[in-house]
Amino acid sequence: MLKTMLTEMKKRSREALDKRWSPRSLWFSRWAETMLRAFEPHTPTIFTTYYTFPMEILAAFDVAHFDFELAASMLASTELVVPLLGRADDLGYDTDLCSFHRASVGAHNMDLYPRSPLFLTTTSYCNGKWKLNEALSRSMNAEPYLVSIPQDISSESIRYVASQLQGAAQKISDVTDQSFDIDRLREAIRSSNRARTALLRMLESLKHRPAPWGGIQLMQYSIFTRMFAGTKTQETIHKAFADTLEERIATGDLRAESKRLFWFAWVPTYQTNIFETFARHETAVVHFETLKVFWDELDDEHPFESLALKCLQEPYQGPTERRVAGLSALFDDYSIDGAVLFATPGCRHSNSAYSIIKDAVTDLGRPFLMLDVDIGDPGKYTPEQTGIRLEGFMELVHGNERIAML
Amino acid sequence: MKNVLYACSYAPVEIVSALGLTPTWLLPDGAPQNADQYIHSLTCPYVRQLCTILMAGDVGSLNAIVLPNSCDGMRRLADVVRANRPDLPLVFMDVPRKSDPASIDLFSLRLRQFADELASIFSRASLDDDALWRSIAEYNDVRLGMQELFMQLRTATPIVSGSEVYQLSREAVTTHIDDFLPSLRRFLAHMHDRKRMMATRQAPRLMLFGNILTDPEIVRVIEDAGAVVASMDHCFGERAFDRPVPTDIDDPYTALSHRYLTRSTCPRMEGLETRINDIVSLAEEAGVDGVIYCSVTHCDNFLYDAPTIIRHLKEHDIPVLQLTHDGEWNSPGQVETRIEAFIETIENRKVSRYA
Repeated sequence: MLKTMLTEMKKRSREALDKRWSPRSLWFSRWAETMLRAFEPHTPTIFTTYYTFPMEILAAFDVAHFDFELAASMLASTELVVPLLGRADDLGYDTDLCSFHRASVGAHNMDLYPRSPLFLTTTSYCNGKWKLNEALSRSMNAEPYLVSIPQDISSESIRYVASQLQGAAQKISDVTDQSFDIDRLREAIRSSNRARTALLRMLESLKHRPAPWGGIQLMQYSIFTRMFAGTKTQETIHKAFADTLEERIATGDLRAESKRLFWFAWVPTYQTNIFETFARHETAVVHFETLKVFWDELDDEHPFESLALKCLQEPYQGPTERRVAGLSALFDDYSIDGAVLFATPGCRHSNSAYSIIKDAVTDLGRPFLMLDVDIGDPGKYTPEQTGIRLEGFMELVHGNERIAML
Repeated sequence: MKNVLYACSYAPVEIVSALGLTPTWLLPDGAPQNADQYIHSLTCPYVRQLCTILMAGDVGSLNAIVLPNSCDGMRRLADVVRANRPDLPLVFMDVPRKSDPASIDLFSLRLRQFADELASIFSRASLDDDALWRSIAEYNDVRLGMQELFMQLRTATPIVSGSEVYQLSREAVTTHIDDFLPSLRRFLAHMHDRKRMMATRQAPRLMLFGNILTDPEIVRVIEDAGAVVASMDHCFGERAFDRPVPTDIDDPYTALSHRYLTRSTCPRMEGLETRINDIVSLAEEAGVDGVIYCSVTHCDNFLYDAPTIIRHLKEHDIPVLQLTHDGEWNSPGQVETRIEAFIETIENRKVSRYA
């Protein structure tokens, strides 16, 4: 099912590229190719978490990689996820748990995922991810490798994480029989820095009114391009998008917008009426929490230490205050009129302290909406109820009232 | 004496006590009230109960609170307390999720910082190593005494009941050690005078495995239904008293770090495989006929482990009943019926096996 989806995605994006080159088609084609590689029988595949594990390390090896959460998000974009969630229920996974994780349990149990000898992840973001990483690796007789990320940024934390990342590189080397080449990692670091510069250019363009891009696909972009970190592909794609956004601004090829939103956390991956509702009110979501360049430029002289610092600088690590640090300047820079916290039920690390985010947004005089919608279970979605809440929120945004909707 | 409240078995009580403070595990009763305005409603009820207490205007005898990084909910509770109660001395304690030498080194440093921070909050002199070693020795005595009780529960004809052990476990984490240790010693001394009449070999033997169990109702229900609680592994049950702090390590902080990170594993730690083996061994050692896997709702640490552990227990021919609750037993009748039915199933199983 997943392999078929990816194969189709690869075919269509290639056809589109042949017809007319675009950064979007390039991104989709590389995304499909990268994930499909994990299904090739003789390619060593490493399971990992694209958005928290420093992919620059994997870029220093000839390996395929696979992220069970992002694969689940693809499956959840279709109704095909329903039987997978049902299978997870049958296996005893509580319906209260993250639907991406439950879909992954079902997909793995129904043999839709590739196999791997090594499961790498970190403790960043949620507990559920690394807990499931252990459970899935066990059922594949594979080895789990966890990078424990402290909550503070200090010289000891950097040393601690750096040594674990070195351990991860050693594990990859062990399971793939490839020797680790520090120069390849250094090149991956330099490439990652070049991609970072292009991403900063993109962010600069998004300040423009009207914005040259936004909405659900921009959010997906912020997560799904992390799989390419440290590769030429990420550099090329970020640069192509940066060029395109600047070109759109120069040519005036832009959609009308009257209000602009900032978005905390993730988006539902199945069809909803959320972004349509915003569009109807000429309201654009122009910036996402996951799109922020939160990390410093990496140091190729100290690759593991600088990647460790990148892990520690994750906004979801440490206190929630980090997620709202600099919000006032960001709202001004991007002319933000309101903010949404997407609160999928299983995502406790993101939702639990919602009140801090709400207070930070409303203190800046912007309306706030906490949107309790499941990320990957279409069966739990009620368009009418969500529509009513969104319409109410739109009234606040357009009336610019300082009210939070919970 | 000043109280330092804490909320997880990874809080280093030895350090708190050595500073002349009383470490007290905060075990609230009742449903969370008004917590939803601070913390999401789909966060575990224990965290929300804590939120209710910590956000209340009058926090009574609370002088400081220690919140270890047990889980996502707990670390976000720390954020909420910091943001809304700046008057409340809070120490957030980051605990690694691994137990390798690098993690032990990092955590020993964190423990030292914790001691300094607590001393500073209460304007105490820096903690000296001798005082800490004395405190470690006392808590090691508590652990040894509690282990004796848990071992006693495991015997075929125990001379203590599950309810008694639950009560003593609760007192161990909520009473000052100067009061608790003598009372534990007295209990242990008199325990051996009792006749082995608490149970017979025929009574179904159950293991209670779970997370935070603030309400002892379930233990009473099991015992009233004629079964024996032969093992009780919850947040302040067996695993909290497992393994003394090693005294053959020079630095007391390294010794503490070693004990906390290598003790019987809690689901907040890496090591599912070890946990499975430990639970199965414990169940077999205690000769249990069934396991009650008991968790509060929204507890990711437990709910992610549950399917794998339950499947493994069943593969070892150990029946399992999974119960989730909201911190209190909202429908005690229903729980009672489920436990009674489970015990009946086990009894029938035993009879048919015997036949």
